[in-house]
Amino acid sequence: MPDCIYRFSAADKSICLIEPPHVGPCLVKACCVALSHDLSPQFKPAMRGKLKFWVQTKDPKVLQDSRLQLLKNYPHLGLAEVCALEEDIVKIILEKGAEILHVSKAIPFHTL
Amino acid sequence: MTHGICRRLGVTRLWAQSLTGKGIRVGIVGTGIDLSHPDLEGKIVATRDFSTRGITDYIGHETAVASIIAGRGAKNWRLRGIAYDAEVVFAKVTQDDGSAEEDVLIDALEWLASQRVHVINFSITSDCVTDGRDPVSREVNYLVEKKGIGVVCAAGNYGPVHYSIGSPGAAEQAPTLLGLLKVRRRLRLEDGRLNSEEQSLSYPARIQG
Repeated sequence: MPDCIYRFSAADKSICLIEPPHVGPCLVKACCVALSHDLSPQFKPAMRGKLKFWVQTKDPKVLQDSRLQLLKNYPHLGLAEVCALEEDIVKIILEKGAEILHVSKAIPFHTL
Repeated sequence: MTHGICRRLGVTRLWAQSLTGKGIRVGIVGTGIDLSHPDLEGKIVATRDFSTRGITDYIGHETAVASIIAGRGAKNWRLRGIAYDAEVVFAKVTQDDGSAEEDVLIDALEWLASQRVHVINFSITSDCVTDGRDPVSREVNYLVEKKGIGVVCAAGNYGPVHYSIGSPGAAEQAPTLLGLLKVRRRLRLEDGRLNSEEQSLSYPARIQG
């Protein structure tokens, strides 16, 4: 099972974690701490390696950030798939939060 | 799909009204397809492999699903599919272990839409729950709202508990198949003896959306 999905809300500048019940609330706390400009050591273990993320933004220039590798664009969904370090995603959210409507981590699927 | 189950689900009443899937094109997303399966002979009008592993079904899941939907009942008409006159368009999306990624699933759904399917069966789910705003759920909502395609999604095998439905079963516009029906049936063995067997079968116990 993956660790979690988190979403950034432009409305209240919060990160909402949607996660399997067995994943502890520590990640919720860690994301909140990260959002408050203080990246918690608790959060850092989840930031290893580049991952795929989905980004919805009002400003396409956000996707030109050098920390993001644009993989695919889905204009009809208003989403772009990017590859980035999780830590950089959080930093970009903090820097350009007003332009970003939605961020979620790519999740795996499997046959039932 | 056995005739008894079709009768129990009310499908035989639809057949009696000549609703057999004729003229309907069903898109299936999944593990691949056995193109030589006698039940699917003449049924598959197009296939595309999005997995880069070849269209062959190494798991068997979607060959079974396709037979349940549109199987001809080649060896026994009582085992034909629910919409046995329907056509099938198939998109393979999974790796050999049955896993798939979101962008592949969205690309497959878009391709199926381009093949003018009327309905899509999606028996794959995410490994974690969503609120229905994830990319694949958005794509399902888009196909239903903008292109008029019905997308039927499996709810998963983890319920019935809170937070057990993944993507795209959580999509607002997607009917989601939930529930397991325990069926005890008696099988006649080759030596003539009768044997009881319990099977679990999915059925539309509750419709979301």
